[in-house]
Amino acid sequence: MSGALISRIQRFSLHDGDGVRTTVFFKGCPLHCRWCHNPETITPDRILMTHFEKCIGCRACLEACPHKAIVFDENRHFVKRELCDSCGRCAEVCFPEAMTINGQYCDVGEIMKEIDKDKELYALSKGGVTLSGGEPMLHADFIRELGSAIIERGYTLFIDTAGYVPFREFEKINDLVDTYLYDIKSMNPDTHRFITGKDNALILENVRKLSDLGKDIIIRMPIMEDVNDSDENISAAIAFIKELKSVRQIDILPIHKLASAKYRSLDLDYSFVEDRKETDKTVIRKIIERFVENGMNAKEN
Amino acid sequence: MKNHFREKKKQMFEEFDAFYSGYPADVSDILEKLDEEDRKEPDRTPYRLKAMQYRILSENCRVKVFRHCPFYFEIVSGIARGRLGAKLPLSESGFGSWIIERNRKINDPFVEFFKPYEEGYFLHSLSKFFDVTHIIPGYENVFAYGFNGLKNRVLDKLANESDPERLDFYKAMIQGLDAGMLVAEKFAAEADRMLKEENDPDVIRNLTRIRESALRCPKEAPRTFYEALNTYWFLHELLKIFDCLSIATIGHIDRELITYYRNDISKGILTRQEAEELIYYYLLITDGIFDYYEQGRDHLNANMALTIGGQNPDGSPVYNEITSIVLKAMSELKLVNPNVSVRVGSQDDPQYFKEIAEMIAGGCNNYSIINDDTAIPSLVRAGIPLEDARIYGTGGCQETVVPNKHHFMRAFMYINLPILFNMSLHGKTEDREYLEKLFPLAFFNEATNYEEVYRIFLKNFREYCLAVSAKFREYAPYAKIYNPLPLYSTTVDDCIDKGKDYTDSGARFYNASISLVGVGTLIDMLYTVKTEVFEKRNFTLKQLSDMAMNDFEGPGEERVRQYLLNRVKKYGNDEEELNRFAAKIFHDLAELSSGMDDGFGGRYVASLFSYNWYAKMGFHTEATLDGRKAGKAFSRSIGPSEYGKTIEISKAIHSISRIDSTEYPGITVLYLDMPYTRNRLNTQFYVDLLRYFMVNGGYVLQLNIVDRETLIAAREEPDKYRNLVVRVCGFSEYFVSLKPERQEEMINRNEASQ
Ligand code: SF4
Ligand code: SF4
Repeated sequence: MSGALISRIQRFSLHDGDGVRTTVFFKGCPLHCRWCHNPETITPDRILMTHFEKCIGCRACLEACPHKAIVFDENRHFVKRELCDSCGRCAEVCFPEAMTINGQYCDVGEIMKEIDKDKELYALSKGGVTLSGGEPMLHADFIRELGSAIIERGYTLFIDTAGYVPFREFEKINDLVDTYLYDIKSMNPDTHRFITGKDNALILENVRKLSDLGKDIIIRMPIMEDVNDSDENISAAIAFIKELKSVRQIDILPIHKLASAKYRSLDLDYSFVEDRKETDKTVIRKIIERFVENGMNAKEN
Repeated sequence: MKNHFREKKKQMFEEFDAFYSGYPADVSDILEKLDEEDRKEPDRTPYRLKAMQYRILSENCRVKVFRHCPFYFEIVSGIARGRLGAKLPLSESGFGSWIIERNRKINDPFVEFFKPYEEGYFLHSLSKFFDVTHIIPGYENVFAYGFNGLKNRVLDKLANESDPERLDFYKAMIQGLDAGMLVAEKFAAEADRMLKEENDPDVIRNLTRIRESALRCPKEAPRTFYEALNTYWFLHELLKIFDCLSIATIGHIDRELITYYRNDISKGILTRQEAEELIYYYLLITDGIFDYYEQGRDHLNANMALTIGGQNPDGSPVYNEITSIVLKAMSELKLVNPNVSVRVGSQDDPQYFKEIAEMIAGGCNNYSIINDDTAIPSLVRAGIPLEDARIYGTGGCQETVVPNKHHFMRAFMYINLPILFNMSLHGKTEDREYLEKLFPLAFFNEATNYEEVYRIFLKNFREYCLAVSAKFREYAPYAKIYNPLPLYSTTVDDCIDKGKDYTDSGARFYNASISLVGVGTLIDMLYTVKTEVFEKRNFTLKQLSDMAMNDFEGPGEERVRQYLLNRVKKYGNDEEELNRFAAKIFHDLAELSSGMDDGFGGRYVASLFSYNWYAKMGFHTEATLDGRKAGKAFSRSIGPSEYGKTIEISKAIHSISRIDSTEYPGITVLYLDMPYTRNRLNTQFYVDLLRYFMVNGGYVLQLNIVDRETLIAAREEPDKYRNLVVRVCGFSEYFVSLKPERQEEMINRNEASQ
C-alpha cells in the first residue's frame, strides 16, 4: 500500500465544510502565501519544529544530533537550519517535546483507523472527511486510494484546495469528491503573485472546469485589509463566481495572527502578517453584503 | 420577556438585598424557649423532641413577605445568607439546627473518626452519616393531598396504633403538618397586614394573591399553576428549617406542573406570558436569596437543582410547554443558580434537542445534560423498578434520585484513589499507621508482574470500601435518634403506611455510594507500571516510587518525569488499547465499590461523582507515576487527566465509548471546556455534540463555554466581568467570586483544552 507524508490529522473540525469533520493535512504546496497559517505544511518533507520554552536543559539533543546543528550555550539555544536535515534524532530524545518533527508517513490503513473513530459523529452531523494541507491535490494518486476507502465507508469527502495543479490531477479523483473547498486569493494576477508567488490563471481555469462538470463547490476567500479587500477585487470575484454554475456558498475568511508560535518554531519570518492589523469584522461584513446583494450565499468562516 | 422583566428583577433583588443584609437574624429568644422546654422534660423520645421543636418554631417564628416577589417562603430562622442549612455552628444555621446541636454527641464521634483521614486528604466525608442534601421531598404527594389530606391519612393510622414508638412518630407527623399550616397562616396574616399600608396597585395585586393562596396552601392541594409553583418553594423552605435539612432540589417542574398549566390556560385564568413570568421569578429566587458575589468563597452550599425533560412513568416523553419556557429563560437570564438538570434521551423530539442547543449556544453555563439512555438503566441496575427510574430527578449538582420514595446517600464520601495507589506503593510510615486502623493495607513490594500489582490495589480498594461503609452502617441506627424527620416523612411514599421515619428505612428504596476521585489519573499510573516497569523494564517500581516521593526533584529526574508524561500513553487520547484497559478498571472499581449493605435495607452502588475534590485532593497529594507533580489537580469524574496535555473533545468523548456507565448509578460526568468563541458555532453543532455523547454511552455531560482570554481578563478586571458565570464542577459560580487558586486552575484547564 502506498502512503503520503501527513502533517497532522485533526478530529472534530468545525470549519472545514459541513458538519463535524476529520481533516487530514497533507504536506507540500506549490504556492507560498505570505499569511499561510499552516507554514509547516508548505515543505514536502518532514521538518523540525522547536518549542524551546518547554526545554528543561537536559542537553540530550546535543548528543543526538549527527550534524552538530544545535547550538546550546549559556545565552543561546537554536538550530542552525542550514545544517539541519530534519532527521529527527533530537526529537526522539527530547521528552518534553521541545523539539518535534512534523510530518509522518502514513498509509491508507493508518489514516482510516483515525478517521473511523468518529464515524458516528459524521453520521449524526452529516459530516465527513476533509483533505487539506498543504495542497492535497499534489497527492491525487494517493487520494484515489484513500478517497475510495472514505467513500466506501459512506463518509463524505471534501477537498480543500488552492487549485494550482494541472487539471488532470482533478480528473484522477473527481468522481470521489463530494465538495471542493476552493481558495481564491485574488482576481488580480499581480496581487495574486504578490500574495502567493504564483499566477492565478490556472487556478481560475480549473475552478471553471470543475464547475462546468457540475461539482459542488464552496469558494473560500481569505481577506486581508489593504491587500485583497479592494472593491475592484471583490467586484471581479463576484462577476467571476456568478458565471460558475455549481458554487453553493462563498466563505469569507478574515486573516488572523494566530500562527506566530508556529513561525517561531520553524524559524520563519511572520512579519508580513504581524506588522499588519487583523482583518476587521466590518470589512468582512461589507464584503459579505456585496455578495449577498448579488444574490449569492456568502458567510464568514 | 427579557427587557420587560429586567426592571421587575431589579426591584425584587433590591428588596432581597436590603432584607438579607440583616441576616443572620437574631433568634436567641426562640432558641431559649427550645432549651427551656427541653430542660422541663429532658427525657423526651426523639419523635417527641422533634414534635416539641415543630411546635415551638411554628408558634414563635416570624415570616417575611416580599412586596416584589410573587412567592411566599421566607421563614426568619436565624440562618446566615447563602447557607443551605443543616449544619453547625448554630450561629450560621438558625433555629432549625437546634436539634443537631442538642444531639451533637451522636454525630461528633463520627466526625472525629474520619477527621485524620480528611486532614490527610485520603477521603472526605460531608461530616454526616445520613444524607440530607440530595433528597427530593414528595412534592407530588403534597400536590395530591395537601397537608390536610396527609394529616387524615396519619390520623387513620394513629387510631389503630398501639406501638409506643409508632404512636410518637405519628403524633410528631401531625404536629409537623400543623406547624406547616400555622406558618402558612402567618404568611396570610403578614400579607394582610401589609395590604393595609400598600398603595402600589401592582404590589396590592401581588399581596392579595399571596394572602389568598396562603390561606389555602399547603393546607389543601394546590388548584392552580401558581399555587403549585409556590408550593415547591414553600415546602422547600419549611422542610429545610423545620426538619433541619439542606435539600438541594426544587422539583421536576415540567413533569409535575404541566397539568396545572394546561388547566389554567384552558380555563382562561393564566396566559403563557404570565406563566413565563412566574417561571422567571421562580428561577431567579436562588440567585436572589444567596449572595453569589461574596468574594473568594465557593458557594458550594448554595446549590439548587431543578429537573426538566425526561420521561413519565409510562415512558412517554415529558418535553412540553414548560420545558421550553425554562430553556428559554435559562439562556436569557444568565443565572448562577439553579442548576438545571436537562434530561434527554435519544428518542426525544428533535425540537427538544434544538431548544437545548439554543440554550447552550446562548452562553448559559448553569446546567448539566443527563442522558436518559444511560441514567434509567443505571437506576434499574441499582434496584429501582423501571417506572420509578423513569421519573428520576436530580439533587444538588446532578445526582440522580427517585422523587417521593427514595433515599440515595451520595456525594457524602469521596475517596482519593491516587493516594491509595501511592500508599500501596510506598506507604509512608506515619500515614500508614492510621490507614491501617481502617483496613489492612497490602503493598506492591513483592509483586513480580503487573497483574499482581493490580490485584493488590483492588484488594486494598475493596477493603477500603468495606471499612468506610461499615462505619456508616454502624451509625445508621442513630439517624432516627439524631435528627428524625417526621414532617418530611409525611411526603414520602410508604412512611405513613409503615409507620417508619425516612431515617428509619421508611422509604421504599435506599441506596448509598462512595464517590471515587481521580480515576483517570489512577488509570495512567497503572498503565505506567504495566508498560514501563513490567513490559519494557525501563524502571523498577522502587525507582519510580522514590522519584515520585521526591517530587522528581533529584538529578536527572525531571527528564524521567517528562518521559512519563509525554512518552507513556495516556487515557483520553483515544487509543483502542488504552480505552479497553481503562474500561476494565472502570468495571472493576464499580463492582468493588458496590453491593455493601447501607444499613437501611439498601445497597451501595458505584459513583464517579468527584465534585470539586478532584482539585482539592490533588492539591494535597504528592507526585504520581503518570508524571504529575505534587499539588496538581487530578482527573475529573470519568474524564482523562488534564495535567500538562491537550484534551481534544472528540477524543475525550470517544475514549469513554468502551465504558459501561450504567454500572455507575451514582453517575459519571464528562466535563468539557469548550474553548471556542461562541458566535462562530451554530446550534446544530451542539445537537451533534449531545447526540455523539449519547452514542458513546455518556451519563452526565457538562460543558463550560468560555474562552481563556475572557477568564484572564476577568481575573485582571473583576469589575468588568461581574456577570461571567462559569461551571466549576457540579455547580456554577460567578468567576470573579472564586478563590484565586480555583481561578488559576480553571484558566490552566482551559488552556489544556485549546
Ligand atoms: S533534548 Fe529537549 S529538553 Fe533536552 S536540552 Fe534538548 S531541547 Fe532541551
Ligand atoms: S533534526 Fe536532526 S539534524 Fe536537525 S537538529 Fe535534530 S538531530 Fe540535528
